[in-house]
Amino acid sequence: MSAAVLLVALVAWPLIGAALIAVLGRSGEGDSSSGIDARTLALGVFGLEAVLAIVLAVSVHATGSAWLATADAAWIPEIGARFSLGADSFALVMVVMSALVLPFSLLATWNEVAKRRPAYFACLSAVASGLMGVFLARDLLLFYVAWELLLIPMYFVVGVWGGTAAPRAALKYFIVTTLGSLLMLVAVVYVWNAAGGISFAYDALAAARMSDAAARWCLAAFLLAFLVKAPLLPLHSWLPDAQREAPTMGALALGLKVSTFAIARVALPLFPAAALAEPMRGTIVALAVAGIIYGALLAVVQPDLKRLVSYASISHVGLVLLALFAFTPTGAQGAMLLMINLGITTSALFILVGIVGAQRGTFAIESLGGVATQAPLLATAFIIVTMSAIGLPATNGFIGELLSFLGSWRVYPVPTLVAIVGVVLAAVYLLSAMQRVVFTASADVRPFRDLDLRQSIAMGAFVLAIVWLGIGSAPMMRMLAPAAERIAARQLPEGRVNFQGDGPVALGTEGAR
Amino acid sequence: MNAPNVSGMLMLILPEVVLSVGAMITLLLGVSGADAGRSHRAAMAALATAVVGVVLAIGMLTGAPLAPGTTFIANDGFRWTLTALLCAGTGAAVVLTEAYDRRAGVARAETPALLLLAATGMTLLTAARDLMVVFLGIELMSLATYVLVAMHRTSARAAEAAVKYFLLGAFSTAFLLYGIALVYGATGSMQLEGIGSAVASGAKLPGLLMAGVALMLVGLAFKVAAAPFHLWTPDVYDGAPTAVTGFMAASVKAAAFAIFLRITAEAFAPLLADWHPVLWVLAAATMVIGNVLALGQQQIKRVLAYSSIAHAGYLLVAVVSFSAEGATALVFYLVAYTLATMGAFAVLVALSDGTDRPLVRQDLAGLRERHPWLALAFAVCVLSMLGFPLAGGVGFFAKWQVLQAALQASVPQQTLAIVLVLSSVVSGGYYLGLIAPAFMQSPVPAARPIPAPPTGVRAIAIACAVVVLVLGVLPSSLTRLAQRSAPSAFAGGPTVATTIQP
Repeated sequence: MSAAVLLVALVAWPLIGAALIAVLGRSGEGDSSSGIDARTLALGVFGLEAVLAIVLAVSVHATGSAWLATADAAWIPEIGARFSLGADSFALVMVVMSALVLPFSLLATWNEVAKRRPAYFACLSAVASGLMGVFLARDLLLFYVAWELLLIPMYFVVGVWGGTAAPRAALKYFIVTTLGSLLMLVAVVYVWNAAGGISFAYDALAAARMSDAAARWCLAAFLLAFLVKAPLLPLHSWLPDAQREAPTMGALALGLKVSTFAIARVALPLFPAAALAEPMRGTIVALAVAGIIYGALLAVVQPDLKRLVSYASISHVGLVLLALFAFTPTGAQGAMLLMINLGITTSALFILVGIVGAQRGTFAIESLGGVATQAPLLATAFIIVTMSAIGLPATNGFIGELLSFLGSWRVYPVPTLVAIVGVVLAAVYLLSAMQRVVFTASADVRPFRDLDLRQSIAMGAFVLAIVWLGIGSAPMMRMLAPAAERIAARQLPEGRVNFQGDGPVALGTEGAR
Repeated sequence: MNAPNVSGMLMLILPEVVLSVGAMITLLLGVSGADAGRSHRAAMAALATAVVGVVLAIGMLTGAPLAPGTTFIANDGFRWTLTALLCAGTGAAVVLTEAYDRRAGVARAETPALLLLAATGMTLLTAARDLMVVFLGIELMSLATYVLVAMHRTSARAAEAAVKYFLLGAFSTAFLLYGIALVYGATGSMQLEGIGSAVASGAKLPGLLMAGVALMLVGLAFKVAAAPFHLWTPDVYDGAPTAVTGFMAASVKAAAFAIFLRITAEAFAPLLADWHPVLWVLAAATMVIGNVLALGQQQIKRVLAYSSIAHAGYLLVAVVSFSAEGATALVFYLVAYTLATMGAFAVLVALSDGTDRPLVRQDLAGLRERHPWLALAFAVCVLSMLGFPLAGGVGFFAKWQVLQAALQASVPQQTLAIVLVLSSVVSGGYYLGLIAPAFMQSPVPAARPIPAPPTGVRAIAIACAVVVLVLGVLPSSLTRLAQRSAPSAFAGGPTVATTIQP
């Protein structure tokens, strides 16, 4: 199968799958209507998506171009929009990561959602299509459509299948992110118009002639859209609400690092000069660092386990942004590794929190406890995932954090030191939460069920990924190195790489390149 | 330009002839034959007439290149595209009003006949190039609509709405007529072209001309419900029978915008620097006021009334852009807006219980469980009004066109573009407030059982949603059509627009 077909299939299949699930699916037990269990269908859809992603990953070969695979077709010739997809190494790794997280998350949360399963999984499937579109788009209009495609199904996932406060949280999520993306739309029109109004290709738009001030305003609009969703500090309050109310798969899909990817892939390369302009860059770095500490402090005092994970991920996003805005190849590489690994680790954390919380009917840490004595597998998974979230060496979290700090140290020494304090705080809140949930006996003495077979398989996969990426991330780092150089130089994949400064760390590359 | 012979003249107003003859036939069918089914036969005749109107207009668009029109009737793509749109809207309104009236027990043959008469006025407005024809079209449309609002004679709310609409409508018509008289006095011409050239060569009585232009703009702003001339809209939309409200929100507004654009483009272009700032403020105020006031509404029709005011604001942005792109955006937007509005109102008609009790958000609760397809269609249409890509289909590209026109204007309108998107964010609040109960709440038992919606109503709702979705993925055909439909006044490029002050 050619790479182009695979790219199109990666974006289109989940949408087709959503329709299949909605039409053919049946809610499961107690639903007498004919059809296939929606969960089985969804597993098939997500499973095939994962297979497509893996086939794409192993079938592409490094070529002269940075694009490992491309697909291109006419879409709206009147305004120059094309259905144009492409994967560079960074996008490819994000695609594989997301495509693998989804089916295993589904296995782990098999029984979590009971009502209207076909619609639920159809929405999640549409979200998957949006994710792939954001990762793979090479056309700004297509990117925008994919970016917005994430929003509506996610709104329903949070609002319909969430907890009691869900409709309100979903509305907040929708309004805040719409504010960002509509201002981005004005910037999209502006850039497109400045580039002659004939093409949405990233590289054509990057060549648009605009005044410095216009470029800065446009970059600000793009960054606002992405940072609201990341989220950055003063814009973050929707995330804990939405993730707290959302079902597990919704919460973890909100946690996949789409927005930081979009910053690296779209916002920075489109406005290379404006990205360096102060005060924007300094403000973002300052807010990122403030977010690291603020998220960590809120997580320390958080009595609700699910919110704790949410605040932890706000703190982690700060690390990614600090490393990204250092504009060093090492920092960019660290940021990319962090995005990938946080996607895995945060998803695993939400799944575990969901499993524990569902058994007690609450996420209050004080009512949870004593997992270790009753559910050894669950406890083991909990410990390993927590270690990964802390960034312990030999887990996937370590190398990304280390490279981020190395990369940002040169440019921003003081913020980096503050960020390191944040990582220490992460050890405090994560370890204490783990200790209270896993080892301390709680007042609630109902027994915990251990992981069932499906959950064991899923958590086994997550643990495998955590350990494997922790000790054997060299191949991935080699893959990401050129993409990191481009991000640091704020270059599009097709642009000429031209940077000075420290090189990206590519372990074991001697003789390989 | 030679004066065409009689048959050529008739050809030029063929849709209007067909529609008015159709109206007569509809009326006759309403008083002949067996009592049972009279109103239904009349409605079918009206529907057929509207379909003929659509076919005629599309035939003109796709047939031989258009001959030049006369100095008082245009024969351009703008006219025929909007005529097709308005006839289609009228056809949908015929089906919806019949279903709604039948449920309320007041089905009469006069309703479809009046819809056709209103359509005659509206299609005249798309073609008018002479202020007499403009006035004729506006009066034909408005008088028929006043009566349509009052058709449910036992409903006090409808009567109140009709009186209010009639008084304010007559008032605004007086403004328009007075403006026409003053403009004629200042320029010595009733024809848009003649006024345009008289103004360009310097009017003898500039004060008189300015007063005339101002009065005409006020009259037109009333008709399109631009703030601050919007105050009649919520009450009238709320009190009118739901199906008629849909007709007013979609088609009457579209026709008013058609003539708004043509008058500004063909007659007042040389005065651009004078009226541009006025319309700029109107557009910004209309977007903000419509969207903000919609937030506080509980009744669905009032929400949609304020939302229609906001859409008038977006459309005014296209007018203010004053370019071929602006006209393209206006046509594109009107198509998208008509589809979304008709679809949404079809769902409301399906949900009405036959009384004139106002629908509130709670009536939508659990719609997903009661009518899953209608719920989906409603969500698509509402998201289309919000301008959401993919899920909202063509609504996104409509907003895109307006933004594009605003930023490509000879003096780029960044501020208006930003006001547009920020007020759209506000609109997210109330549009989702309509969708959320349909999907996130359980149905509440209705006080009166609501019969199953008629097939025609469901078909309109679902067809609108499907077209919205398809055009949302493949907007090329509509884009091309809209590009061909800019009035010929813009064909020479933005030369007239150079006088805009930023």
